[in-house]
Amino acid sequence: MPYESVDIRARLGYMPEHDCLPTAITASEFLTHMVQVSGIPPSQARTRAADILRHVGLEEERYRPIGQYSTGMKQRVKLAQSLAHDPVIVLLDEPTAGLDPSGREDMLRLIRRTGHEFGISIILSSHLMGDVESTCDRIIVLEGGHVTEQGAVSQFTQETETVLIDVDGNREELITALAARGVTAVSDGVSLAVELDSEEQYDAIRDALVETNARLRRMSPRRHQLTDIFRNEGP
Amino acid sequence: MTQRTGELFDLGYQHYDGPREGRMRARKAVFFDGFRTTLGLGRGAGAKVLPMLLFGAAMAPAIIIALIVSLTNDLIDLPGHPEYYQVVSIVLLIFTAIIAPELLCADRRNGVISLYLVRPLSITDYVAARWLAFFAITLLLVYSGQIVLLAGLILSASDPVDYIRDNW
Repeated sequence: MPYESVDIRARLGYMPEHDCLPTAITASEFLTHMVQVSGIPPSQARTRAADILRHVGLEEERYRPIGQYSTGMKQRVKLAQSLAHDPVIVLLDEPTAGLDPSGREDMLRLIRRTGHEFGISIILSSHLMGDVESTCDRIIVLEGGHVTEQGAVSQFTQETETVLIDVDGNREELITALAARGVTAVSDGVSLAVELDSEEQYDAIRDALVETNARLRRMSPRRHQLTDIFRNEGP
Repeated sequence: MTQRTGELFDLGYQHYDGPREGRMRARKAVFFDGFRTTLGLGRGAGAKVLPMLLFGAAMAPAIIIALIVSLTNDLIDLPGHPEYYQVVSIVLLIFTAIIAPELLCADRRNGVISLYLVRPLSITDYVAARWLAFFAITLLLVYSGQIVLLAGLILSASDPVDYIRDNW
């Protein structure tokens, strides 16, 4: 295995969490060099670098020194260097670190596209459960170096028997009206959470809403969230 | 109405099916990158100033000695190659003291080293390639001054062929 590690690394991509970019050279120059270090001849390296930089959304900026880039652009260069040599598997460590919400959404879209359309397997390491939920197919939870949970993401975000109700005003009256119909509603942040025992309770909720004239904003089944894993409430 | 002259295609991601040359290509890439970094090639004008200054400082004594020899027509016993080294060694010292750390430390400071180590390259390959780049640059600096001096001395000698024969 140690003797084969060089060959394995030729087909591996890695995007570290920490800063790993030189400041003095342009993204184009840096990518061309990195593609060559991955074993691709110089004649092909420049084309690969240009292609992948366009793919991650860096067009004209690629001729500016990396030192002048914003955090979002640096993250794109980091992602580009991990994909430029057409790896079989890519390891991404906190790829959305330091990005603003729209930059984060762009980055996740790019990662999803890379994984689903281009057939590159991606291992994403993240503490942001929202990122994992919207991007990944499967999840592995590690704790102290051991796998504690694993499975499809959908398995971790199944629907529960709890219904969440958001209303504008008349909240207390609604709780009383529900209680009068034998439905217990507990306050859960801004929402009211109702444990459902039977289908008929939907009717009770409807009647209570009509009676109290509370304006309904949302009514939806509660899903397990990935953050529940950390609260040891997972499935 | 404007005529459509071309169309844009979203080619998306292209897989690479070309040759992969592995470790040897990686070594070469690190070597040439070291060479280019030192000379400031592929970087802004600012990065080229220091290497050019030091290169100039190493060349100047060779040119001055050659000029003096040619102007004085060999009348006095003038400095030659050994004397050139005495003058230029301080420049070489400064040059090596600046470029050697820059070749290794910059990668660690920027964190680029972690990208090298996940590529088909061992740590020994990396250090060896960087060291060879350093060695090649130093050799170039040492010998280019000598060659300029030698050319100057040969051209200013009364009999260039004799000079070559005597000093071979």
